[in-house]
Amino acid sequence: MGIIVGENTRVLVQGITGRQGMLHTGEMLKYGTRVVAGVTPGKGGGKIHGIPVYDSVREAVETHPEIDTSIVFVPAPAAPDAVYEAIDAGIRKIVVITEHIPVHETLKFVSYARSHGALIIGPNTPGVITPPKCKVGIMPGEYFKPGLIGLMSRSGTLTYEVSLHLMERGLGVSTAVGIGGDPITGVTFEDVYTLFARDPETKAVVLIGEIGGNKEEQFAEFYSQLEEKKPVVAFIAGRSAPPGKKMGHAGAIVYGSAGSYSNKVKALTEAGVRVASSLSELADLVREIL
Amino acid sequence: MIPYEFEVKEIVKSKGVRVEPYCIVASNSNTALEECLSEISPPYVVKAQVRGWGRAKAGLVKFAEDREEARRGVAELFARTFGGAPIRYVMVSKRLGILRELYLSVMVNYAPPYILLLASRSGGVEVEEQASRDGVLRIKIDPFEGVRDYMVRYISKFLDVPLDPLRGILEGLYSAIWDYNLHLLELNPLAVTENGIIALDAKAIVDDDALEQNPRLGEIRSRYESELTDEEALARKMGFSVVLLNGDTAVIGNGAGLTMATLDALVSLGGSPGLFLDLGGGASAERVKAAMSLVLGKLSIKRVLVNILGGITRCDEVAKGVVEALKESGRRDMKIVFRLSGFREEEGRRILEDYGIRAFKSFEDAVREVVR
Repeated sequence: MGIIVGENTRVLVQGITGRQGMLHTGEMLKYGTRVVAGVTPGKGGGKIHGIPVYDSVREAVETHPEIDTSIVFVPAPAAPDAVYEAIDAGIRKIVVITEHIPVHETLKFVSYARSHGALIIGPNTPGVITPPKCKVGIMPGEYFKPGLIGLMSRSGTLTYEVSLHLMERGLGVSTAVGIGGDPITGVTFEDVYTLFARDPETKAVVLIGEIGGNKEEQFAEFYSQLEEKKPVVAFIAGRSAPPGKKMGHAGAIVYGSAGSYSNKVKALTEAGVRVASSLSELADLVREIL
Repeated sequence: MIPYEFEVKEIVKSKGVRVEPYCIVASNSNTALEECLSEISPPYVVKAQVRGWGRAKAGLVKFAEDREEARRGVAELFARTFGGAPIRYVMVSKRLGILRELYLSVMVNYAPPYILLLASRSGGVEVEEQASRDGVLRIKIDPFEGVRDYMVRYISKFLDVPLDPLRGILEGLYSAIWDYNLHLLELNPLAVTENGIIALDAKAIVDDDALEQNPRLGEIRSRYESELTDEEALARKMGFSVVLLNGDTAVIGNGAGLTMATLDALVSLGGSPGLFLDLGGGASAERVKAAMSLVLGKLSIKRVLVNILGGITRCDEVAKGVVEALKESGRRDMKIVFRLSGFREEEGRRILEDYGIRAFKSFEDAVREVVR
């Protein structure tokens, strides 16, 4: 089963003629994802990996009404426009891979999406994968084996690393969702957890967080108020990062005590989440729970 | 990125917020200082321009009764540093008679996403502490609605200031954060004086991702870029992220989260990180070579831990880049430990082995080896 994407997902690729769009359309097709159309304004009419390319999202969804999910590879300056176009064309799941979109733009299109009932994953996300059925993203498929763990993460490569650690212990993933490394993202940990909570195949959830912002604290507050809970195990990257320095991600910076490692661990622990201090410990804790 | 006070004051002034008379002197200009002092009547406040908070506590704000004292203050401040950076600009401003000091800020709230307006009846240096004691008014603004009149009424009553100047200030701040892509815009103190409400200090955080895109930020961006260290400039050009630390081990990884987790694992095993470097996604051999050369140029670095989980990133490209940098530098006093897994792993492993570097398969084994 899994969440967000699965065997019935039909995908539109926005920015399909760009270098990344072209490469990852090929990779998604190889994985088995049903990519049905692509869009690049001004480049309609051609084909990429056998997939028809259209000038606009409207044309693509008129020709392929089965499209329910879009993946955006459009460069940062034009990416917000691509997201609005997808929302206005009625697509309700939009995975925004693009990095470096100004936060004010994200704030607006995330608000717009919420008021239109659309789910934005990202920006600055590796995407979503439900192994072995469907990946809408850029993650290497071989790092994800099907199983019972729901993964939700602010970080790309670290998600692959965690899945690899789980695999080494014979564990697999129901779905892995990269919520994105930016300060503002569409789906939150709360949104993704709620979907995992309803998924009968997901038995436990792993939260991969990092320093900076308050996403983990928000989740802790939400989780502590739930009556029924699926177990959650967390890992927070950046324990040893110096304050005031941006650690690679736009969101990974600590000002004062807000967003610090200890704040996050305290909030999660008090909410009943087990926090691992290393990746090996994380995998051990998950195995204990199952 | 944190702009200078005078850059932020230019922004708020253009939005109709009143500021006191001031001028800026750059370290190399005496005539500018004399011109400045003749334009503004004493008494003065002399303030170092810094990219950060905590300036007054660091003793970088001075008061001067006359021109001579102001000259001395300026000279003293140029001899100082802030957070390791030299003082490049000093502001000389007219010292005003203050009746009350207030605090007002507008910021982007990340989770959940909205614009947050904060007002406090007490401004000044210890605003966080005072705000928690004294109470602070928080108002959420919907990005599609902007500042509504009831918000102005609430704040006017809370701060006990008249509606009219306040409305202009709030609308000015709100429009500034959109026009200039600011994460935060703060007036502290916002002073009530006999001549009206005046912003005596203004601070902001600019969205780094907007620097290239927003033409209004052009001047602020070029000043910022001209002050970058060589490492920072190279990192910006090549598209990786680098943070200098105090220890002897450089940590290089692909992806922010993975690199941070590697740093954490190193520290937990007793290692001392000297440099954090995130290659980002899909690094070419050229980019990796530039990153590795930067590391090799740091004499304080004695060990290097490279942790690559190849997805979009090709392990062979990384290996090639590192080996090329090593060949060119000729440094032989470094311990290089690699972890390679994923896309083109075998090819990468072969390139490294030909050069005498063994690559581990497991994250933990590599970390243990580098601290050994």
